[in-house]
Amino acid sequence: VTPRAARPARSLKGQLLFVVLVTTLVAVLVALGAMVAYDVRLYQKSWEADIRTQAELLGRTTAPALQFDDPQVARENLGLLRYRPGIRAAAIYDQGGARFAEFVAPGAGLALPALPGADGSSFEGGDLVVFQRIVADDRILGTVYLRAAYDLVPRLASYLGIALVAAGLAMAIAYLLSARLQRIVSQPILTIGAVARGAAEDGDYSLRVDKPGDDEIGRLAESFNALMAETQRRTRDLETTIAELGVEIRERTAAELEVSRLNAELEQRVQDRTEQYRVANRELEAFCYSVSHDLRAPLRAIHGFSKVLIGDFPDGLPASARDALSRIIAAAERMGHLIEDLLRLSQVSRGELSRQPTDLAEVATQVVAALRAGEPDREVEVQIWDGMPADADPRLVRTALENLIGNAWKFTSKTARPRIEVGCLRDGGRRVYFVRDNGAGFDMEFADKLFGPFQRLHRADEYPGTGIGLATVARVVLKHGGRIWAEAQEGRGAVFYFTLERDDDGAATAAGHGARSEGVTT
Amino acid sequence: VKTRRRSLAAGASGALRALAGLAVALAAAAPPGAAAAPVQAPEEAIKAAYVFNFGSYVDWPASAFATPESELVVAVVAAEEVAVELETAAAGRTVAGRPVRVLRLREDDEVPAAHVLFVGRAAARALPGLLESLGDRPTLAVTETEGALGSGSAINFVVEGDRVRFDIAPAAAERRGLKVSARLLSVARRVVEGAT
Repeated sequence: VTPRAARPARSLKGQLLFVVLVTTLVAVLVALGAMVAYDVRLYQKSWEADIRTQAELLGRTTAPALQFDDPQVARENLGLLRYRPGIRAAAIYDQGGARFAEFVAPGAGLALPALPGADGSSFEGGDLVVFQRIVADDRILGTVYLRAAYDLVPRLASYLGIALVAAGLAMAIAYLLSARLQRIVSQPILTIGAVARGAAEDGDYSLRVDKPGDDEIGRLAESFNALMAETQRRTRDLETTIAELGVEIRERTAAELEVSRLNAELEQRVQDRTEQYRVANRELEAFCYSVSHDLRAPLRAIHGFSKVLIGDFPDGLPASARDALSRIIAAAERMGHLIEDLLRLSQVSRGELSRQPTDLAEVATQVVAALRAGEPDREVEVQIWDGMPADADPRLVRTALENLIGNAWKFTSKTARPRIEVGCLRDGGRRVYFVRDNGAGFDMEFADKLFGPFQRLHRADEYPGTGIGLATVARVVLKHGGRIWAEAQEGRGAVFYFTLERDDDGAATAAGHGARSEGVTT
Repeated sequence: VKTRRRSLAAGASGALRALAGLAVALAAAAPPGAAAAPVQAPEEAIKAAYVFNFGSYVDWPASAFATPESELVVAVVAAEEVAVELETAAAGRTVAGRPVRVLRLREDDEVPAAHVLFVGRAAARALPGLLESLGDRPTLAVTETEGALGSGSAINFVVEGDRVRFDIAPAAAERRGLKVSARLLSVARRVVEGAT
């Protein structure tokens, strides 16, 4: 795969170029510096040797002038120096150190030293100064003084010019060469950079770099290709994983939709079934009502005609027939009670609830009055609390209290000092009504069976009853949205609690102790 | 020959002795108040020093000496003071590697084998005879008499003002087998060519 065209990365090229140029410059400067230093030293030495030779020569030439005291000759000898370029001043000192002859180059304007210095050369104000003793036959005749220009500055300046030209030339050549040669280094790196940029910007990991050689850059390219291959493989894996996850998520979503659809279907089915049950129940109740209602006419006939038989033939019937007729009459009466109870239960279920302010104390008082009227001989202590208002259906409440107080009346029949209490407790913002007695009570073990129809905890010959009363009460309470439960102890009496309002805060508001029975019947 | 001396003071006692002879002549060239002490050296001392120096600029034929180390003999006629100065200057010194011996002669003495013959002014009359007696011997004749060069003298002292100078006739020296250095000619007052 061919990499895309490399964009100009000036930094790398520039840096390489910079390195090459700086290196070249340093190398050239060091080389030139060394050469200049060497040459300056050489120049100084040769110039010094030259001037000393000149001094020696001058000394030998002027020796006779000194020996024979001829300054004129010495001056003439010195005067020849004007043909020697570079000599700026010269002098001959005699044995005593006095100046014997002198020469100053035209225009030099130099002062000569009053006394000769020690043998040797030195630099003074940019000039080379040489003192040289004149010796003949091991005797010092005098001293030669020479002062020559030491043209270091112009020489250095010319060297500097050469150095500048050489450095410039070297830099130019280095620039041209490195501009070509640096491609060997920079081109592969730029290519790798371009490919990497392509990968980073477009996510295209399929690109590869041609391996430029077996050097470090070649290995870099190799590593880069390996990296790209690895990235490509991982990206592919990741994409596959993501696709798989997508499929899974879709499947899961579909499953969830299916579940909710099934739930809805189930709900629908439950509703349908509930509706069916309600219809069936209503039909059943209607049936029950009509059956009960229709049973009463033939029952009344059986009862009536049995009585007629006994009344019309007080003596004409054998004792066994009379006994059978009495049993028929008793059974018919029981059946009549049963039918009445069934009808009442049915009425409770069928009738519409019409709530209105009702005083339970008043209702209870009327019920107790009816009971006392039925059995005037019984001595029962009844206590009814004052003021038990309720928002309830008075007809249904009456039915409920008739059953509850009737039960209390009935189950206290064998108690020594029977006592019945009807009252109302406050539980939070809710009223809990109760009916208490000190009668037979019951075993709390069977408390959950209390409110089912035809459930009896006592034998019929002990306490007569149909077993429908508490079922009717439960239904009244349920119809009001309330609850009913009981507490009892065998032989010590029972308490029945009920409410007539819907529980707003759930079961926690119950009286808190004893058995509970909710939604006893349907 | 290249001999270095650090200073004049290191020039040893010989240099100091020569200084006395040169001082007068140098004082003229020295600026007033210069370091060189203006010691008034007698004319004889200067002449003695010059005679001494001539030895450095004249080559004698090898036959004139027995060995390379043989002494240079300077004969002095009728110039006692010059002879004294020469003896003083010659003590411990060499000329071209040779020690110097001074011989005192009277004007009627026979001239022995000498390398330099100095004839004083007092013997001016006897001068031609003395020079004649030298014959072809390699002897440098030095005189201080006017016109002596015409009598066969090679070098003749002349006093100009307070300076001692000399005239030279190289031909007279060459006739006796001597070679006079051109450097010596350059400091002569007058070089006489073609003399007898």
